[in-house]
Amino acid sequence: MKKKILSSFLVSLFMLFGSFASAQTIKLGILEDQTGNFAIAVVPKIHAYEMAVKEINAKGGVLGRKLEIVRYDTQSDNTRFQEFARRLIEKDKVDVIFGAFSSASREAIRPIIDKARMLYFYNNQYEGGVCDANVFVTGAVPEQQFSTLVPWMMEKYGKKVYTIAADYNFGQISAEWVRNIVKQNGGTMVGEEFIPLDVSQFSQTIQKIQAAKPDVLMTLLVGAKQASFYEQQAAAGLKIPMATSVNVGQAYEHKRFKPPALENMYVTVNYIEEVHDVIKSGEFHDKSKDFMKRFKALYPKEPYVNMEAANAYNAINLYVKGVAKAGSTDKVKVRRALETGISFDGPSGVVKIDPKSHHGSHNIFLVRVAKDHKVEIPKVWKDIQPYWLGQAGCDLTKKDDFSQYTPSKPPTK
Amino acid sequence: MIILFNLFYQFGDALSFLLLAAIGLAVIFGMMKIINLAHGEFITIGAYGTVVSAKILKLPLPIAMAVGVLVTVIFGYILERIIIRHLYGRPLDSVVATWGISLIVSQSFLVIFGPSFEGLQTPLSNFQLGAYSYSQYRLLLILISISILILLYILFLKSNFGTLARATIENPKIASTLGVKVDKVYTVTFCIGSALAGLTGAIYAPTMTIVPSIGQAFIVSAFVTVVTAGASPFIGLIPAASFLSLIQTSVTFYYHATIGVLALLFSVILIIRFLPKGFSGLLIKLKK
Amino acid sequence: MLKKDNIFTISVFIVLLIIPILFDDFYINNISYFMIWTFISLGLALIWGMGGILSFGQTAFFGLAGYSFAIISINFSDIYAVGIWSPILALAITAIFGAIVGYFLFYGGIYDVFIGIVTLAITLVLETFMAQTAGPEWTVGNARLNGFNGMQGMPPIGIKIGEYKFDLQGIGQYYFIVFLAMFLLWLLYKIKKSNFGLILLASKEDRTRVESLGHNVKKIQMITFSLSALLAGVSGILYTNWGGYITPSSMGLIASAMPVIWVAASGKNDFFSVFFGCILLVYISQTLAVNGAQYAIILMGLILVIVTRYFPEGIILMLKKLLTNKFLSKK
Repeated sequence: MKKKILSSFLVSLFMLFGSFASAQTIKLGILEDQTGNFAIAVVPKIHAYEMAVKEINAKGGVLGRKLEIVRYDTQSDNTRFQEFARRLIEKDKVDVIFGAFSSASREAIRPIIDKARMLYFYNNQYEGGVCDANVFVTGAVPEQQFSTLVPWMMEKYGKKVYTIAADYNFGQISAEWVRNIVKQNGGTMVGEEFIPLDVSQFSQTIQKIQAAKPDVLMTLLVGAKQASFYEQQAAAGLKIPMATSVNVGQAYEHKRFKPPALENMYVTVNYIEEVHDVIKSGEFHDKSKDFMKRFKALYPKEPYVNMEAANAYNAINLYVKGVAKAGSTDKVKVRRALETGISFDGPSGVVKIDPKSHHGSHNIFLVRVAKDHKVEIPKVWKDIQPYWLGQAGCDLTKKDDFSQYTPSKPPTK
Repeated sequence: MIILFNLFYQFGDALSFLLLAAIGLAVIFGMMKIINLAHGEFITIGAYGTVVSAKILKLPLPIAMAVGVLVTVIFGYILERIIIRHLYGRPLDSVVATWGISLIVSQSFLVIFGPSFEGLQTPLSNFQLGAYSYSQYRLLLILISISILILLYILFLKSNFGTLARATIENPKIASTLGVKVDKVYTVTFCIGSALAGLTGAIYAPTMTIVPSIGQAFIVSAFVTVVTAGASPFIGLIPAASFLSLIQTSVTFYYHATIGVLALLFSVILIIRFLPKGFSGLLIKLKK
Repeated sequence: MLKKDNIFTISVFIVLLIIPILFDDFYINNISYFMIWTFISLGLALIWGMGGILSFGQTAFFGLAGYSFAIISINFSDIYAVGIWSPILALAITAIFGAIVGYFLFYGGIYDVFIGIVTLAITLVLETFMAQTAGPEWTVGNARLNGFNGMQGMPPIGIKIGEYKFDLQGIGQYYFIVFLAMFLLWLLYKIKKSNFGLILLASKEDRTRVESLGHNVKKIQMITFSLSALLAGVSGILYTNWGGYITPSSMGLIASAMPVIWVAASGKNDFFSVFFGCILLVYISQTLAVNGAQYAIILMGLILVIVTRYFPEGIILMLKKLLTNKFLSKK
């Protein structure tokens, strides 16, 4: 009898505590570079997070709880990412962390996140391969951007491909993907050059490309310094069709550079703000138009809404769906809920989380930049899966992992 | 033949970049011994001055460039009056102050103009030689850089002002007893350095992405070139920049850009090891 | 004079020692992080403040030590007590490399700003090289260097005996750093008072005269340089251990300017001022970043300009002197 009273007392205490807890907000930690080198592509991302949170709160939040953002400016500096990731976890005690632009900053906080068993969404296109139990990725990966782009370019322009790439992880791994896909499709690599991030002068590179006479030039260049390549190649009259996975869709070079620096550049993106201007009707037109309308209502001065903004918006919504399904903000429960294949119908259609690798599927748009820097979309690939990690042996539903793999260093099965 | 021209073009392009990156610093660091970590931001000011006046005031490019230089000079003048003059004779402390200035300037540009500004188009056209095509403007840059250097050589080593400036910086006390207005000489010299850095920004502005960090692309090249040039920068600058760009272009030609950058840095280390007084030291020695 | 100095030093350390009693984990880890950067600054104060030699590339040693520690401890993670001997071995490697660079510099007759540029070139070579090691061919044993994205997955400093495990984390890490700082500050003051230190100080004023008195200045400078490299290495290892991560950008241009700024702004001629000033500056820059949004960097720049303009000896050193004169000179 006594036992029963005690237990009922405990239960009511728990319920009381529970009801207190449910009144509390859900804290979303955001680490993004509002200043520094990456600010240009990151500011629309920050606004997209804020917009998603506002919309969800306007609908009453999730589980009866409102969302609250705790955000720090990481200044495009890896050590700031480390400091603030710890701050979010240890001081602000957030429920989930979103953020990071560069892969280096993601890798800088991953050890801290894994140690604390925090839940983390990385919402950027990147070189792929992160198989981490605590990490979800809503950005596009090489199998989504290159296995579409490279064969299309080779069919249209020819089989001789030349790659110039930033000499670090992103560039090297992306170049590896390009190399493999070119080979699989019966093409040849007529040249490959890796360029340090600090290089801003490209006369020599341009001459080397001209000597090799490629049909297609892959420009996997990163950062403001390397972006000077485009003006310099136009000034030198290079005139070779270019293809990439980074420009236009992130830092809107086609709006910032004087035409025709980017003429005949092809990019695969999972969203850009022009989608509904170019595609005149149908699902993609309506969703993008609706998204942009809401975005501009909140941030009328936003210079450009890039694909990472869409990814950021999707990430918050996916998390909230995970919380709703789990019925709790418990990190393990939310992770398991997200692993049931949760999807969200966002600005560019449905994004579905692949349970094995924690990466999102995407509709991929092929964007071409015309002479006047207007955008065309000659092709859309629907529902492209982030298949590589799962096929290579990453299965987070069965086995925890905390690594980043590359095609030449896949998981050991 | 085409190959030869090609090599000349690549070498000349790398040479003009090193020379133009270094000239402003050659005056401020090479002569005045102020370790100017804000050198990159002086270049940024020149570049933004040019682009903003070309875009917003719709000025023709050469005039816009002149405005870019002028703005940099005004900035340099104010800075010298308020801060830099207190740092003469403490070259190492200048590191902190100029770093602070560099933070303020680059961040202010970010706040005022946003993370990026629409660029200009490279003036002039391109021409074809065999399979290769070249930008005429970049060919012009080679000429500009070398003529600026010759002008500086005349100004600092042959003119009256040059003698005064060198004497003042060598020994301000004696100079002032001889009736030199030390203050003025310092200010003018600093302004010349600022003007040159601004000019570099102005003439590279049409060829690069206009971001608040644009000047930082020049800073490492600038310091290594000035230091390998040695104590008398106007004598040493051309041989130093020629040697470094020869190393960088030939290594990049045979391997790729990363090895080129590494080779450049390595040769700086070796040059200083074997020519502790830089190229100007070597030349002066040979003359004797 | 020394005794008066001690009062501030002791009171700061007393505060540092009782902080963990008053504050929670976040503050402990965050203050540990501030203190991590003091060792590289102390190393620079040694070679610059005492030796008059400005090295712009102390981060080369910071990075070398961090990477060596990571590579060794990943490769030998199964071997007994790797968490203790791997940092020591990494420090030894760093000190030897420092000695080699020092030999190259001082026996090569390189002086003044040239040292700054050579050391800067060294750190940039290391950064550029490490940044491109993303490929699978860049592995040392089991450790992937992983290029610009940085290395992770190294076991922490610590020891495991059977079931019992002690990792250098949290409060243990905090006290370890405090005691290490106390020990190293004491050691640096001893060096300053020693014959060795006096020769070094004298060589700053007039190298040739000290040499003509029969002292081997080059050797002394080389040893000092190696010691300063070792101190930078301490920071590098502790930083790698703190975040479980080391990256090439910690050897880049911006990273290499930071210690110079901390030391110059604090007062390069006094070790305690450098220690305290470094903590304060890292704290200020973090706090500004938390609160100031885009004006944080501008404010930091202003602080640095004002400090050099009005406190040429370094702000902490001048404050310390001021306080000493005001409160303690009456005795």
